Amino acid sequence: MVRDVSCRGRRGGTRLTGHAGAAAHKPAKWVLTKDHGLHPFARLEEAWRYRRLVAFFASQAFSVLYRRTRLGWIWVPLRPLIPLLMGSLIYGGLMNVPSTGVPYFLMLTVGSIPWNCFDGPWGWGSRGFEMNRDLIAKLYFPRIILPLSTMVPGFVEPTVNIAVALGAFAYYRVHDGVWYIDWSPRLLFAAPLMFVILFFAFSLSLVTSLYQVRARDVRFFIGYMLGFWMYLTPVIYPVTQIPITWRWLVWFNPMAALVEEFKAAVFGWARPPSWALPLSLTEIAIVFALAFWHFHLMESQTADKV
Amino acid sequence: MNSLTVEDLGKRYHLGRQARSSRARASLDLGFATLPLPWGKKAPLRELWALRHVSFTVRPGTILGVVGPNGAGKSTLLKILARVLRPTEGRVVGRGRVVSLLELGAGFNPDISALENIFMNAAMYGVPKHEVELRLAEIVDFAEIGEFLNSPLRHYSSGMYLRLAFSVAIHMSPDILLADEILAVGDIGFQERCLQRVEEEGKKGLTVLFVSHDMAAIARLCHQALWLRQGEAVQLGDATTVVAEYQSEARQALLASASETGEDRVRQSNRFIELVAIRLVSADGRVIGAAPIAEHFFIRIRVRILRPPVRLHASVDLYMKNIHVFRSAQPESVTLDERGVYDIAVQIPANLLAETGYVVDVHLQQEAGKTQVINIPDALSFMTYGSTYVSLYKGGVLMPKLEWSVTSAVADAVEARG
Repeated sequence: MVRDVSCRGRRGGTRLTGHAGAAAHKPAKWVLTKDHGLHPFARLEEAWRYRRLVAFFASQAFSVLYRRTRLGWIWVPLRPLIPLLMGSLIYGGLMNVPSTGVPYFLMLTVGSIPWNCFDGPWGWGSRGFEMNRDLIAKLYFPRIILPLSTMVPGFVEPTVNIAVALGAFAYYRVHDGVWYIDWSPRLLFAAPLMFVILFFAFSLSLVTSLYQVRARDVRFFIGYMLGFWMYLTPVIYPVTQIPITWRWLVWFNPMAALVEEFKAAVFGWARPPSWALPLSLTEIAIVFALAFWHFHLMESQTADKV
Repeated sequence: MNSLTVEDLGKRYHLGRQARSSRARASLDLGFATLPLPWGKKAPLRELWALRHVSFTVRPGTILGVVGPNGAGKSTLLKILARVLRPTEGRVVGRGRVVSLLELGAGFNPDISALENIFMNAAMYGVPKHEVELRLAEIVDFAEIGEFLNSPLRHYSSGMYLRLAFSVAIHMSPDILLADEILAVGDIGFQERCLQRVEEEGKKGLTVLFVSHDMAAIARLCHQALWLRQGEAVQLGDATTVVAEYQSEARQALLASASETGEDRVRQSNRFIELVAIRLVSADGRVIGAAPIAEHFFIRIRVRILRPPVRLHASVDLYMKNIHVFRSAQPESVTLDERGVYDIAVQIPANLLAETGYVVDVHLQQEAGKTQVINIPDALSFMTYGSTYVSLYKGGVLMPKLEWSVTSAVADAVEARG
């Protein structure tokens, strides 16, 4: 067995010293070892160089979304609309869940906007590795691109929800003669809240996408998790439904403060206690830091595990 | 200054624990067999070193072929260099941009146009858009896809796919190009253009690592070759030398397997006949493991007649890499009236086969009482060697030596007119 063998190109026989070589550029040196090599921040910088891949993987994910459906794009408005109508009928109509002075349909629609910024993107982001299994085994690129870009199809539902909400506001303006929407500068606060929620969904996707590629069980787990989580979050009911003695507990759910802040900004309701939002942001920051660190450690092993 | 320095590189895979019971290996594997349960004995973790203690250096401008049997670690080596896999031990020091062509069309989206795919593919190599725009004309030109630039890749032939993939890769100004089987699949004309292009780039310092099972391609394209066997480096040196030694070892292995196991593999019998062995036999009657192209040889089917009389009708199918090369059948059936051992042989003429590996299927139709057919798939596999006539390019499933002539067309025309 030959342990250390040197190999010379046909023309590579002579050793060039100094800058006598014809090479105009001196290629950068890189080292591969069993450690992950790059500093986490260098990873982010590298991901930035590959940023155009986001559009690529996002479009791939989109093409999966309505592939082999008969109704095609009609599903785009239909999919978010059905649960809104069903929810209004059951919770608002049959069960008479109160809705603090606004029509129940409106409360549900507006509450669904931030919630759908969470559940759709998290579910989609978790599929990042799974959907691109083959490519991972063949090509190197910063893997963080995957959960980030496959989140994109999850933006459809909140977008449709916003349109539905605007339509509903206009309808109730004509029907009831009131703008339930609170036209104040506070309304602008709703946008950054949605970004925070997307960021939270991304943070969770960093972890779940890694495991979903190994075991699809994760997908079911996320499904049930989201189901329970929604009941813990004031989406289908106003937070005032929870007895005041226990209400402080709700705010430990990071989604509760975000959703409630969103609804408060839109309807002009009283805001949750002042510590609720900072607590939620802190929790999300911690989740992100842990998730990112975990991803950083695990990323280079992904091709072994798929 | 080396383009690549590989030091004591190793890659270990865990194959998981051996399942404790056969039930756990049933189709609905809940994964419990591999769960680290606190009770029960833990089966040992099986591991496999796909690559171990591999060290070598490559100087800029080298085209290095990587050869070895399946499972030798060739693709693992390339995947580590491409950063797809992480080494378990050792390290690699390299210089410059690495572009990998590990699979034809990896990273291409068949639903979008070639033009968009060029940009997407470049993005996957981490090459900025403005750099691609500068070279777009060259890429399209080299790939020869001008008029199809805006049609989706779905409509492309595999040849066009390959040309586009290679063209994009080579125009990303790589310092190191990794290619797995890719270059060997194109047509000869395109292979030549790729090679030319690679040589040009080689002068500027491009290093190429090229994995292939096509020894002819390795010998033709590469300066140097690295031979891997079970994850370890056997030899590195001049491509033609390494290829020759690798092939001779492969042939010996075939020979050994033919003499040791050949008999058991094909043994089949019924009440009337027993199939004893199927062998490759040389012109002078020796059992051989590999066939010389320059001489004729025989495929010999040895049968024992148990209950005569038996009418037999034999045929053989020759395959190369799942391509059915030909079938040859006995022109008419023969009747064997005595008990005993008989040899049925078919002669394969000299200078018919190509220099490659073939697999033989044997069929025996036996008419005693009712008709029965004995099929022996993969009855024999062998390699051929030593083509006597020199050819620029080796290819095809057969490479028959045919009659060629050169005559003056003018004289012919005069004759015809007269």
